[in-house]
Amino acid sequence: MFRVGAQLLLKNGHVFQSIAFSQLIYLGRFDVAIESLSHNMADEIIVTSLDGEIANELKKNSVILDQVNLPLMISGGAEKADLSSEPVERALYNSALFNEKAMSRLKHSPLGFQSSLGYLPFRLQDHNLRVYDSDLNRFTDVDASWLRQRGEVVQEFVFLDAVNQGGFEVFNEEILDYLPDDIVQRSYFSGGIGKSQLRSVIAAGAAGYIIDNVSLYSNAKIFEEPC
Amino acid sequence: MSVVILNPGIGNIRSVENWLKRLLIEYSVLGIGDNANTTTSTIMIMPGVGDSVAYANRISRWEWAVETIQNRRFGRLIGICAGFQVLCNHVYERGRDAEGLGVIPAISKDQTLSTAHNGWTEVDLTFLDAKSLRDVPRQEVFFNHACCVIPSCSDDSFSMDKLGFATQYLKGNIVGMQYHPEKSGALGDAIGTHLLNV
Repeated sequence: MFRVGAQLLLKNGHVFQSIAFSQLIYLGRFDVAIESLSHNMADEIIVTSLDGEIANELKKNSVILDQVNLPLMISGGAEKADLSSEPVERALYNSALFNEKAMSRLKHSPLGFQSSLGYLPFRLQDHNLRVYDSDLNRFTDVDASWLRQRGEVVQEFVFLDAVNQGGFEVFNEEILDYLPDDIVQRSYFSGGIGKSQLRSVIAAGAAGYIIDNVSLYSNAKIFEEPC
Repeated sequence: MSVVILNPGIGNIRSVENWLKRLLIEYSVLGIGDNANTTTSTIMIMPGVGDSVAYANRISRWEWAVETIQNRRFGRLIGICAGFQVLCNHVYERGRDAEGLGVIPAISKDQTLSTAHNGWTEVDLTFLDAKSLRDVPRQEVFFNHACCVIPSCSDDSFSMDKLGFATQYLKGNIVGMQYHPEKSGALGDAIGTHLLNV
């Protein structure tokens, strides 16, 4: 059941494209982006607060979000959001994965185990898998054991290629060589997708792919027979 | 017809509220401690975005809801996801368990899959006696669950997924859906229209 979703980077009601985890390009209004994704029948939509204030963004954009009849995930300060009162099904966490107390809280999420995902921007460097810690604003080496421990509190992962984010046909498929099969099966991949990379992650048994380029998403061809 | 959402204070009812608003259906919300006069024109909805054991424990403390559900004092009862699971005899989730409401001959327990069941899947729409739903372009509904309903015995009231869990239940005036119609796009809205007889 491979899923193809999309991620919207949100700030003050407007959507941005991030390039290589460092530059931002203005894309347009949030309500227009949401409507486009709904029309193109995205499997899931991730709404990410660029400022780490997703709780505030949910409140400011509640009228728009209440109209969405597709699954919604949130990220960017999700641990501060009251998930029990928002029209979302799941939340992505990053800093919590680097903090034992926060991970313990995740185990008791009011929305249940199926509602928590780990959000891991990554780089492959010196033959190591390095993932981003938003609290420390740096990349750190991790291994399969570290991921499996996080897999006890989050049901799935989203691995974002921080180097190739915003590109096309440049996603670094080598990440698949760094992850054990059981983690791949519970992971979405994102960052510079093209059809050939989509075929690779599908063949590897991944859970799904997240389109990080909203303008790409409006071209629905990428969802036609990716295999 | 009156529509009532049961809110035991665990999980999230907002998406179901938005679903009803999209369908232009008026509804009321009852919380723990509340009660209401229900009739054969009352449709009760038990939404379920949340932990099923916590849900079962909370609702067991709501005497009016337990009594109304177990004595079938409603026109139709719709359980969604965890709301479907707590209608079973017993619920199990991640090493904990609780008694369910016991109106469906089944248990709810952790899935044996290496991953929880997430994503869009086709279900048997004729099971809901709703052939009209075939006109909707996307013939899939959205699932997001780590636990699943397993019938206690072979029973035609359950519609089964090939992985061995129940996707739907329909018997008398009780409807159970493991998926989330409120987040299943146009098909989910059509299912809502059908079940709520709008």
